[in-house]
Amino acid sequence: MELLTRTRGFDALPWLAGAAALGLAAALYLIFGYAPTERTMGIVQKIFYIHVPCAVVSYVAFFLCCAGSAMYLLKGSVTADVVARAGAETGVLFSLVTLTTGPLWARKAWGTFWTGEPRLMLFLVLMLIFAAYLVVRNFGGRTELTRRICAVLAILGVADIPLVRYAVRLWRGNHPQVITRDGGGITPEMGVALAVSFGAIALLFAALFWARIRVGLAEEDVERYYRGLARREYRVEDATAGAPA
Amino acid sequence: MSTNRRAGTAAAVMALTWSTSVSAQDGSGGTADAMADLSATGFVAAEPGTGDQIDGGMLMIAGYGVFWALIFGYVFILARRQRRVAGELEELRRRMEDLDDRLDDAEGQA
Repeated sequence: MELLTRTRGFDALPWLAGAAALGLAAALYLIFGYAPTERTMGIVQKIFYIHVPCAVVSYVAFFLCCAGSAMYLLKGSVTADVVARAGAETGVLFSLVTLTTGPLWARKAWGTFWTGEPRLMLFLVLMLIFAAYLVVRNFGGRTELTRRICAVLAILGVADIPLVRYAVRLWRGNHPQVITRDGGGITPEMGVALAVSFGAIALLFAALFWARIRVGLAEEDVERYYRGLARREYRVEDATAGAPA
Repeated sequence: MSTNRRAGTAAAVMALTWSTSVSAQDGSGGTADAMADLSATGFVAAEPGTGDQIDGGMLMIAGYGVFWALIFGYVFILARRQRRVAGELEELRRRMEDLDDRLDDAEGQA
């Protein structure tokens, strides 16, 4: 019997990874060779070009996790569950980048690594919710109950994202808001570097998300084949017992 | 073995988050409070060359270093998982073929 996994067929991963590598190279050139250095904060402001896209990409990942979880609860689709898990993992990865680059930037800009600023605290809570999701997924076993508990946790966790987004307005935080509907508080060169950086980090996220889904589907196949193997072993035992000595 | 690896990964994530918070609280939060207290009662002349001399360039390098370290770390973990799953699929294929042979033999004898 040939083992066919759902990971075969067209594989977008090499294309996504290649595009992400090219995009990141272009972004680095624009960040350090094209965009000007900010007058007040100096070179540390260059962190902005990875900090903001990583934060936005982590929101996208958590929304995908929520959508996959909802699909799993509604239809019981294992593929949706794999998507949800991939979203949680990549979301935690990019939120970790955000939560480590932000304090490094803040140390120079605000004079402190961390404050009780609403957006910072709510983003930390968001990351910890999905870190808890991953802990439960990794240690709770591959059971239906674990998957359902995590799906509910993901849906509840995503409710924190609008709070993070509007925290500065709601609670008058001091987190900078340079990109608003009224126009950006950045120079056109900075805008170009930020846009390319956004695109590159989005491609990087897509590549990692796709790779994680691929591994997740293969893991589900392995699980399925182990169950099939056990059934086949019973059949062999029965046939051997029924055969003449 | 797999559980130990997962425990290690979870511990690393928690330690990173915790160390960020602790360094934030102990590092400059306390200094900022102390400075606020002092400024309420009087001004003290700083010695030349002292004060907040933290290098923005080093902070930026640390920021980009963390970004690349986390991305490559995750790629490494994914590649390792992919290899393990591929190995398991190969092992399953071998065991399935072995069982098929045994089933054919048993059914042939029956």
